[in-house]
Amino acid sequence: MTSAEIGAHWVAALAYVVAALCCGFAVAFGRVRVLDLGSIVLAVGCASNALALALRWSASGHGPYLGRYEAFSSYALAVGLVFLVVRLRQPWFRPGAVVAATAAFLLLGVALLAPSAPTFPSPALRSPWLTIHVSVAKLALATAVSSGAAGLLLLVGANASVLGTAGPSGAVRVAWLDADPLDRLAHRLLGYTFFLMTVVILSGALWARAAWGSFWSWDPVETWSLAFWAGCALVLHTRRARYDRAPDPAQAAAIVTLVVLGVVSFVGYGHFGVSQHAAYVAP
Amino acid sequence: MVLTEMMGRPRLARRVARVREHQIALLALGAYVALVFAAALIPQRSSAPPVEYAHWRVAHAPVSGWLEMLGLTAVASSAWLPLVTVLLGASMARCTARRALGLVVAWHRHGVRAVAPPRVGSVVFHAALLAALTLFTLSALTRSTSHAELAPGAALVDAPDGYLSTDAGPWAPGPTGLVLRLDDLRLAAWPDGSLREQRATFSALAAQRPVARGELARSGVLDLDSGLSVLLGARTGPAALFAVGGSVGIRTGWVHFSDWPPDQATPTEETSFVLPANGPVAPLRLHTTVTAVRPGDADSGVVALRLASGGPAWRLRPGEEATIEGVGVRLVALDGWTSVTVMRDPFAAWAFGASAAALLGLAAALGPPLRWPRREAAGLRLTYEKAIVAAPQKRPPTTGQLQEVDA
Repeated sequence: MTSAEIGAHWVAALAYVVAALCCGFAVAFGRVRVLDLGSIVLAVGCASNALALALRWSASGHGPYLGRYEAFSSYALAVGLVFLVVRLRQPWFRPGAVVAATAAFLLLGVALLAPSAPTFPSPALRSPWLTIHVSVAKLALATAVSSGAAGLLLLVGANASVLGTAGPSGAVRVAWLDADPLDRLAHRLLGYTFFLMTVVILSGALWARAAWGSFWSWDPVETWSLAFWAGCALVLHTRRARYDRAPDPAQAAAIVTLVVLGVVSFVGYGHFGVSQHAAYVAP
Repeated sequence: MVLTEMMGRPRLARRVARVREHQIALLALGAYVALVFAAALIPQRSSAPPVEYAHWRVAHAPVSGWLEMLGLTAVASSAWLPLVTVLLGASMARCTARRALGLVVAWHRHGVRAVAPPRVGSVVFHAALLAALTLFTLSALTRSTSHAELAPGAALVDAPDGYLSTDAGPWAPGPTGLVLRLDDLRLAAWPDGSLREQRATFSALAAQRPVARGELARSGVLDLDSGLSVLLGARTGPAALFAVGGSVGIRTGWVHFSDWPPDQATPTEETSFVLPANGPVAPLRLHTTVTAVRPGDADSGVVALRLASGGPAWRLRPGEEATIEGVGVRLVALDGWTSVTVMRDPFAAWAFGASAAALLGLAAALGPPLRWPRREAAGLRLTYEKAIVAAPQKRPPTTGQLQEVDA
């Protein structure tokens, strides 16, 4: 690990935590411009994280997927980037930066605490399915976190005007977001997560047939991923079954719960649990 | 419904009659999630280590008994999973058929503009997913697998037409009806002993007729013909354990080389052996010259060591030592095994196709709401007209802007 790589990672971690604090302050006190500043800092963090991973890739000769250090760093980058892409398309989704920046900081924190010695890819990992399976899994987690952010905003907003209303001081304040587009965004992102999870599970099954001899082996990561996938299908179908499709806090709560489940399946069992996957990705 | 009416519960009968396939699907999906949760949280008899499972069973004595009785300690093989899958499949089949029929009717009545790509995608996804589920089930039911582990001590027997066979598995005609000849096997290892490369060349013979000849790498499947595939086992062999000592310390490592089949002329197989990191040492290049190594008779093997820079080879038998440019090298042991699995799975390719179709359908269903291109007199152009089949209830447009209120 070079000093440039270490420096870039620490700059990214600092940027993520500053972005999370900025956005938290902005949401708590209703400051729109601070919210924008938080998004800019988050983008700086992503750029620095990407630079660190590029340096790592160039030094190790393989993609950032081996060991907790590389995997969690790339998870953090994916979470930040996907949020920024969504925010570019839907500028009103700025408050979601609180969740995205916090998640990115926590993931990068785990990466920085993990052993960072470079490891060789084992023969089973040298497969074209690796690129598809791992990169899409990272995208799936990142999309799920953005969906969870929208669900959380909807859930909190249904209860109280936490973001503040027009104050007596004459300052520019943030009024509460419309529930309707938030609900649509949360479900749309969950739909993308569902699609990406389908790709992850199918590509994993095809790869497992080649590497382990069977499509499915009820490995804990596989089992939790299936639970996450089926949960996504359940929430999406529940919404379609409703005639009016009005925003529903219960649906938002279900999305947030699902995202937590997704994090458990990817991050928890994939890297810390007793699993065939852990044998490949753990340092 | 009839059953409940017979039981004198007309209200329940009416309620059951109103249940739609969508609600059944939701119920089945919920049950699926619950079952998968159970499989993830409760120790499973098939995957947990037997001793740990026994300890858990004793420690949670009354509850574990109930869970076993309910089949929740073996979810994958219990009746629950097929039951829920069949329920989900039936609901999906009916829903898909109804929607597909609706699309066909709309197309005939109003033309292609009435059929929006997301709707088509949704139908394709559900139909393909149903097909994939069916094919995976058929694959599991009809798949025949034959596995042979060529461990030390395994006997060799003759097979027809000069093909080698063991008495253990797929070399002789078995469930797969295939006879394989392993023409060449190349193995190499990382310094820590983990397998770096395993590559084999087979000739396959089915019904006394050559069907294929191909090369197979570990972690790959050699698909031969009509669903017949060969997997090379993860276990390694034949292997030589070296102890390498010298001024840089003692190091050990496994070196894998080719020796199979023993009575065929594969005298030399080259593999490289990089010493473990503890200081840079010039890699040794090993030429393995195997005279009569065979499972069960491994000690007769002779291994030749040669430096990467070339020069004469040091021929070693197990237990012998040599000093190569100041580095002491001792051949500790010679052992060997490998395994080959032959699998006939005629539905695998179809399941793969159905999975790909499901992904395409899902992408179309979740994609942007594009409409079909509309053919006009001037040629083909893309229009953004609203489809005739519209949502049943249109909601007022909301911008979703983050409002800035100047108080």
